[in-house]
Amino acid sequence: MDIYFNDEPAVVADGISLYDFLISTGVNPERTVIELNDELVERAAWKETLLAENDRVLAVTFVGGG
Amino acid sequence: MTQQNILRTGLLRYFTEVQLERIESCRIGIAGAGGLGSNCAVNLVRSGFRQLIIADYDRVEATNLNRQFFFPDQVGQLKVEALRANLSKLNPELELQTFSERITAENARRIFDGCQVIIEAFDQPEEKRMLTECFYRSEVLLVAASGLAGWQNADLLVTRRIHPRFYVVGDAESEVSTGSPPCAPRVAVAAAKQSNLVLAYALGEL
Repeated sequence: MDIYFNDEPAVVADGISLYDFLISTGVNPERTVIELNDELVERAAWKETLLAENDRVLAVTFVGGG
Repeated sequence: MTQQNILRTGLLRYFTEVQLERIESCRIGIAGAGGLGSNCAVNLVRSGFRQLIIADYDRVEATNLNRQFFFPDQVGQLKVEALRANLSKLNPELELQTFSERITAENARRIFDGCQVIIEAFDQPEEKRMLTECFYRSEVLLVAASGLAGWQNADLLVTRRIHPRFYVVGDAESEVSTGSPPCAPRVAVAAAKQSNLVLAYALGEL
């Protein structure tokens, strides 16, 4: 099915969880905030959140230094 | 004439009374008083901000002096106390609250209660993520930073608007590591861009 990841089209398996999708993209979960269709998804809910057609996933990953 | 008035008198060369009152009425939280936080704090105080809440549990070390707004005789002091001393020289009448405890998901809202803006100025990416989760899509304007190490072209540090209440400054990639240390110029650029967003917000132009 088709989704959008960071505003770019992406094709993913039907029914994939948000967590499995994110791991497939290589993001580091401990350093990343995820917005799904303009709503924050707490990390604890990533595994139980299933993606649907045309979902918009936005990942903001932080790197160290300040 | 007090020093407060000296700073304010100077500021009124650049701002109208109405503009300055808007700046002065804005309460800003700064999470972390290191390279980003200490430089944001001095930028904001110079810009007329008076109400600041600054939280950091750390003490000044020699390795901080390359980029943070501290001086050699302050090594060993709590960063929030050293920063209070330095900022008070510019404006002795600040409404400055400091917290020298570690900021957590449990205490962040209490520490920064009443802030219209929160500046994320942590060092560790996990802490940046934690603070972002705490204030994501809240009423607060959250201004974070990510990617500022080294000495690559500083024009690569950009301001990303994630949504109307969440901005991230930096190049999103340059992580502090061996061979890519945090240095004054890029850290200062990131802090200045964070501070500039806050100033624009206070003046109603963000």
